[in-house]
Amino acid sequence: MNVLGLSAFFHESACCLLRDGRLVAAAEEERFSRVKHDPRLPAAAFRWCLKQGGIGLLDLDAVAFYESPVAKVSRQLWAGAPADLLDPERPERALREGLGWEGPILTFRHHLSHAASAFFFSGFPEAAVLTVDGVGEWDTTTYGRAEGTAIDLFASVAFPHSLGLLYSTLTSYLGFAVNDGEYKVMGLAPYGEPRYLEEMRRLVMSRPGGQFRLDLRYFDFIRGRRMYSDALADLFGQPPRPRESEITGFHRDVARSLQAVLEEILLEKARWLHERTGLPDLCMAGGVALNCVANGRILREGPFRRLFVQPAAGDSGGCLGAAALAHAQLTGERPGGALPHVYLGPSWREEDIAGLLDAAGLPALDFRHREADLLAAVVDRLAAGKVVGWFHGPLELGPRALGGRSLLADPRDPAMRDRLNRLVKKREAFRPFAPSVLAGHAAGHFALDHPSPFMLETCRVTSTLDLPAVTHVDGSARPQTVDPAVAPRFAALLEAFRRRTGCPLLVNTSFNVRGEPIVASPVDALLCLGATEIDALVLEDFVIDREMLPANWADLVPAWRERSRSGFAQGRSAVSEDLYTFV
Amino acid sequence: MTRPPEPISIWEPREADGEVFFVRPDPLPLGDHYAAAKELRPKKGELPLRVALFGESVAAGYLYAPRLTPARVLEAQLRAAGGFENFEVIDLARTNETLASLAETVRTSLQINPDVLVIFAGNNWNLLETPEVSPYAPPVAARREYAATLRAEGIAGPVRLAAERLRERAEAALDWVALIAGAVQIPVVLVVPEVSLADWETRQPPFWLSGGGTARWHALDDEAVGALGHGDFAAALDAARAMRELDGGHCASTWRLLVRSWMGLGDLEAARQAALAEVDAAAYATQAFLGAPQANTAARELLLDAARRHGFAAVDLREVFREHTGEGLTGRRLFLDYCHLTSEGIHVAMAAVAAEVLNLSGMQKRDVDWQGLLPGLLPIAITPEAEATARLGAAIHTAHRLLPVTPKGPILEHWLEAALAASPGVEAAMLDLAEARCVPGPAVLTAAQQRNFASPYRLLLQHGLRWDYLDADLLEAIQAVLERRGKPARERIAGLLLWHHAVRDEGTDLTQPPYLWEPLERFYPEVMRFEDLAERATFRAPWPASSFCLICDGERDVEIEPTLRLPAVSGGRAGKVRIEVNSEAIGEMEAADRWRRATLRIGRGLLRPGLNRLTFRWPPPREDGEAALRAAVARLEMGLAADLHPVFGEVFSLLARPV
Repeated sequence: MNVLGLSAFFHESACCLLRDGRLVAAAEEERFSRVKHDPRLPAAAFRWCLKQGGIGLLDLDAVAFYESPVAKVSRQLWAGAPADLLDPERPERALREGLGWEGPILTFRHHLSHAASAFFFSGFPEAAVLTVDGVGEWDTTTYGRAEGTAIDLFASVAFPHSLGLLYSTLTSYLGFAVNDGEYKVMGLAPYGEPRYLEEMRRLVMSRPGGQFRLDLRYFDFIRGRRMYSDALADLFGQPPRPRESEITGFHRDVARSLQAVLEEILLEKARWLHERTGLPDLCMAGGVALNCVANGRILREGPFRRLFVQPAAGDSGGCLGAAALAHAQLTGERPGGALPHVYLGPSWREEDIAGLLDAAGLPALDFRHREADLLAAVVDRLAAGKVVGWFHGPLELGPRALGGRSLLADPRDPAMRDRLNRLVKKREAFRPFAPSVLAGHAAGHFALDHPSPFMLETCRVTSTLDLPAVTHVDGSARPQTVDPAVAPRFAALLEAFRRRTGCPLLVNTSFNVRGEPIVASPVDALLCLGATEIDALVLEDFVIDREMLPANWADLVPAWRERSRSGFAQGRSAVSEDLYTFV
Repeated sequence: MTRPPEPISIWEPREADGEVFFVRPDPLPLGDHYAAAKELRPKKGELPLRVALFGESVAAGYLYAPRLTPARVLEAQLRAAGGFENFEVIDLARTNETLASLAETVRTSLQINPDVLVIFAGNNWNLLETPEVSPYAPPVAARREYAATLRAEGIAGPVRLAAERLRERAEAALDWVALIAGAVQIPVVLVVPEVSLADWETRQPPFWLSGGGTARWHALDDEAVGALGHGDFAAALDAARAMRELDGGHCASTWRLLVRSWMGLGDLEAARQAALAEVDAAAYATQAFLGAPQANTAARELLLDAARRHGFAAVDLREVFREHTGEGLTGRRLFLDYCHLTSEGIHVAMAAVAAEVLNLSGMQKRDVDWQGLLPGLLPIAITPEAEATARLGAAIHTAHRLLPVTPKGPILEHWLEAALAASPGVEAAMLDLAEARCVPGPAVLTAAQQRNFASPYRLLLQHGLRWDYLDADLLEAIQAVLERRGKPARERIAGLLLWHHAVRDEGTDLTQPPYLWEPLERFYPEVMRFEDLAERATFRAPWPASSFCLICDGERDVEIEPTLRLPAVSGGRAGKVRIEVNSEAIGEMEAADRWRRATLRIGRGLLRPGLNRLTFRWPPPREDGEAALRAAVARLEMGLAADLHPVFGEVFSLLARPV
């Protein structure tokens, strides 16, 4: 039984393939198209999933779509979206005409797809399920219980009352892009004080049970051209922050207050869910589940024993849930199984990389069949304070780089965070970086007593080592625990670094520059190397130092990339930066 | 109160020592669309007379810039004829220029006090000025409007609508220029473009034709092309005339077949008329593919009419070139491609402009004309290397934009030979280009591009350096030309191709980049990949034949596994797909309107080491074209994308593997 799951048309299109219930391939379209957050029909991801699964179009049994277009249209109509833009038949038409799919299409509700994406890949036999996002069809938050092949969503909160839209609204007010800057606001929060709790609690008010309400006087996203109304600016007493302008104490305090209230509500609702279900384990998905600070509090302070957050918790992960639901429906069997990793995307053969490097005329160091020497060479560079692009194995699914397409650096270097932010990632200085740590050593450096392989929760840094590059201003970090059984080479690198320096962890940030998706292919990695200040690139078994590059790449590569972004919209973010995408 | 300074195109205002001037960002190392001059400063004093040149890529010297530009040629000619200190030319032309942008640049250029405005535009208008009049325009309102005109007037409807819109926009822009120029009392010279009529071809499929017209048209097309190949021009003419009856004269391909037939029969005036009709028939509103920008009759008439209405001086390059060459059918002597000029073309065109400017300057004792001016002008100062690079660029650009009715090899070889004739050292650039194409990655990451960048034959992005496909026709032309000169290019290129692209044991999908033989022959949205247009996961064939690049060592058989279907508007289509490799038949596959998959084997005896051409010949659609068109119009009326041209076949995947 081959089932392909697909999410598309609003945020982050993606595809995945289940073969007899086993997840064998998954990737976001943006990684192929190089258009950040690409919401279009994921034609490239679709083709790749089939190829990876070793099947052809005619071997596919069903395509599962992650939301109900008809239900969605009812909400869009209610919200006053122009009728010309409403097209409930668009997904089916796109699958039939754009992909050429002639077989059965199964459609599942958005939040059910989120819930399934978490539960079926959690490894839990049963669990409570909490999904929180901007909005699906009508639901913005759902509460459920799952067991075996059944997921029962027994309560929900409906649009326009949405924690995701609350966060996006404040993100926009604070001068960041919607659907992209929420993570930055979370990172900004620890720099502030919770001085605006009262104001924040006027924006969102908890209600009994699983309910909450937004005071819609402060929001304009239903019919307006922006997320917030003038009343919101009046409430806080300051105008919205223009994009790229100075971030002041006020903005930091608003971010902190927002984060505090979000955590407050989520904890309260998690407790309610636990009371309703009596179950010890919790699964979470939906874009708000990427708020790893809140996740950390839910796990530490909440009533659940274990928490599984689906790593591609946003819309891209909806395809996993849809595919899993379809498999369950068609076979009566539970699909999935615990998700050991998210290395589900394309990888490249060494000979292809060798050919590319040879054609480039780069005197790359060749460590084929000499892994120990490769690791030693990489550790040399890391210990010397260099930033290393690490390209190994299959591409990760989801927004986090987890040792497949990572930028790595020494976490002990006090200048490293600024350097990475300024020169390499070209992003805001306040943003923290996350560490990857050998699983067996995590407890010695973090208040973490369980595996955390997907960077989806924060915890306190307890290390006696000074780790300025990965310790946030509030003493927290967002670690990835690396299991040698799951990521052997990455673990071996960490181990080699530990033996050399005594430090079993590295800075791990996504291998990309601002405004672009994470690199997917060796070509992407080389272009990123040429356009940034990364010191070295490890392409599987090859090491390329910056000094090996032609001197003019520093000019040529950005010029090449610049022209590829002009004209016909390649390489640009594909979703609105000022307004949540409702249509 | 003085107005604050504004940018002039990409030149931003700066102030120093109380003086405002304008500075552009440093040119990108691989070139950009603009003149390279770093600074623009307001004029001080009456002399030199400042001529500002505005326009599109022709005016910018596409394929020659920055080493040679029309602005620089014009300046040299004015100085030679009118005195060195008396004239200067400011280059404000840019590639991809539009009417709105041009008018705005004219307005802001007043900040640097031009004395004469020269406007050289019109080639881009067909493609860029009325994008909403297209079946591919995304907005629902645009689709509905298109459907309404198509339903009411047939194919002439959208053509008329686009022409009306263009008239409104062009007249508004040129009226605005007249207002601006009139306000400061400076004269305007309008250069009315000519295009390549003899050596540029536009092969586009017709809309669905009524009854069984589509199948009949394509059968006649085969007949006409075959007849041309045998030199039977009379038979080709008959077939082309029958095609014109079917398509009503709205299909550019048909006119090109008439051009070729008439040329073969020696009636050059008939050929010329057919070539003009071909340019006019290549209306953006009805094209299936990305076309080449050429000033059509409507654009030329709008310019000439504006000149008359506003008292602009007009330089009609059609007349100038005809007189200069003695030929009515302009071609490769003056044109590198569809509209961009050779160095001779630039020389003559600018001499005609120079004559007008000299007359307007009031500095001449008596009026001059270009015929009198030209013999006294020195030839264009261009190095052999720059000339060779431009000609190589012509070969590349032609490979990427030409849609010919017969194979494009000969024209590509012409330009490659011409490049070698200008400077034999350009051979290295050809080999570097071939090497860069063979690498599965962008040219900028190759050692070949590094070598080329350091050479006197540096290829820029305007030369077509960026290309996601193998450039099969160009590779073959390079091989042929160099082999004729005794260079073992074929083996070298084959070796590179095999190293990077030999079909793999697990199967290589030939529908994916870089393996389409002619990537331009795809429906417009599928080529352009606009952000707001849906991607397709399949290859759709707009012609009865589709070719793919199959690369193998020629020492083993190759198995191919196509998954394909025959799209049908009303269902029920079935037929056999004939498959060839290097023009030899290898078999057939039964196909229908639902996906089928088959496996076929190609014997190694039919395969060459390196590049092989794998061709699928689709059975003709037998549908009633009128019904198909009505169905397409109905979709447009609902705001959906629609195919107004038949889709001959569709391939989901074409796996090839050695056995």
